[in-house]
Amino acid sequence: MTERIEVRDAEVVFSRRGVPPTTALSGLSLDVEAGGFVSVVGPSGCGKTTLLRAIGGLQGLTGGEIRVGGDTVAGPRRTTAFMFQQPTLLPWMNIADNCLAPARIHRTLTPEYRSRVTSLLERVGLADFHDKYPNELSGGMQQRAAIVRALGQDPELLLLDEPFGALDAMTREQMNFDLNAIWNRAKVTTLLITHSIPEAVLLGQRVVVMSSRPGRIVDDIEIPFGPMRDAETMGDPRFSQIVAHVRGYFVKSQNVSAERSLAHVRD
Amino acid sequence: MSATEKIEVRAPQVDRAPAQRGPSKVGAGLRGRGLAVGAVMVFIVAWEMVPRLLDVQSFIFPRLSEVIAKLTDATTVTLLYQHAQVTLYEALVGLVIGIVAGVGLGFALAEWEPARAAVYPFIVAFQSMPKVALAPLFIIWFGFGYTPKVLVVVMLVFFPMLVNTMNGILSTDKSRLDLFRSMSASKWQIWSRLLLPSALPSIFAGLEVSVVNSFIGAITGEFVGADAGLGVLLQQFKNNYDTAGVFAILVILAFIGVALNQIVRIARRRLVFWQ
Repeated sequence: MTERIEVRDAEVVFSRRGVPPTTALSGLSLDVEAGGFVSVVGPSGCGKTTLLRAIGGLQGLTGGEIRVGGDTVAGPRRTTAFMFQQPTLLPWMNIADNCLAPARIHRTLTPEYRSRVTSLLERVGLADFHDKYPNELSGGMQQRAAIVRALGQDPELLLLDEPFGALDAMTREQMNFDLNAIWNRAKVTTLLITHSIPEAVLLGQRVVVMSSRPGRIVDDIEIPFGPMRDAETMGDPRFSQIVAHVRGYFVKSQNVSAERSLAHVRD
Repeated sequence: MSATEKIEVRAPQVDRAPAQRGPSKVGAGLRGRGLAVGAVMVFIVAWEMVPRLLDVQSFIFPRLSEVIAKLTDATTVTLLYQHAQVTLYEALVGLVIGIVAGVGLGFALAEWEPARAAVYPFIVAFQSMPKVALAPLFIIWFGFGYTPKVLVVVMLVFFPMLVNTMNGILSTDKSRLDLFRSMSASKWQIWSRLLLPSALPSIFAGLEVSVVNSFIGAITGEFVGADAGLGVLLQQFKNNYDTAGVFAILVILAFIGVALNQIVRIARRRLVFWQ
């Protein structure tokens, strides 16, 4: 089933000859419960993508430990699915083949896998596009196909690296609701990296705030809404209070008022 | 047109390529083709009439009709056919060897950084050198047969193929590499399913250059020293002041060039259909 994430004192230092080493992450610890949805926000270059890549096994640690489902992460795991900033579809494959690519790579293409991808494509509104090529689809549709590719693997851990950053505001909002609905069905452990504070608050059960380099966690906020999120969630006064509070970490002058505003939420 | 027919117009999904083939594009294409045909007609008429009007002597600049006479004369055609076979053979053999070696080594150098670091200075040196200058050396080493010409062709094909393959692989989208790594793809799967298709557009760009280069190589090799081939025939015609014959060879070379270029373009459209 779905897996919990345990990050203990993770440290990532990039060192190249002739260049002073940069510390991307330092002494970072984070827990994500199995089936949970945690959003991570932070300024550019705070190491949040490095954290995600480390959890996914694409980036080695120089210190500390990361465990997924109890096992120490030593490299990419088949049970972990990624979504990147770009859809990253392969232009020489049609949408169906793109979504089936992980199974072909793993040599685990079964009829169940096919039918799961077919029903996922239906659910995200791409049923009629399975034989189209990526360049015939809009950016939002491509990103939806990328969701299908990730979820088709029936992953135990879903790692999302600013997946909607390149979309226009309206498409992005729709994708947020789609993602929430999908997560509610699959209840897969999900970590979302994002630049957008409203997106983080809308989707996460928890929002983790990271500071600038070296990346550390400065706040970890429980979001007081149920698992189902919709447009009404954004209308809730607590929503804007939390957003303002988080924003306070990035806009210095608003710090005090944001801290005060959140006091209401926490009471 | 009845209503049912109208519905059927959009029902079959034929267009697989980017769906930008509106009627306006077709119109523009037709107009473009019309202009091209017109330009060719003007060219033909000018080739026939201008030497006549300026009273240029035939051995300086033959009229089109004289060149056509050469191309339809039985003895000349047999001669052209025999020598063209030789040149075609040299160019195609060199082309195949150059492509296989260039693509193969391009892959190896892209994947193995120490080798790239070691070999790169040589590549740069060779790239900036006019490689046909090696032809006399090859003649000294290998005589007047096919080998030196094939080698000149290989030199001219190998480097563009090598550099384009290598650059194509090295410019593979990093996030696609991440995707394949995240799926725990094997080295072989990354090569065959990601790096090769990613490099294909660049490989084809190299191929278009190489096809042209292969004939430059074969003809140059024949100029330097040979007993058969269109390059040899060209020089014989020149020595006899048979300028119409020289033009006949140039026309044949142009046709071969266009034909090979078209083959490469068709193959590219088939294999790199997503671009």
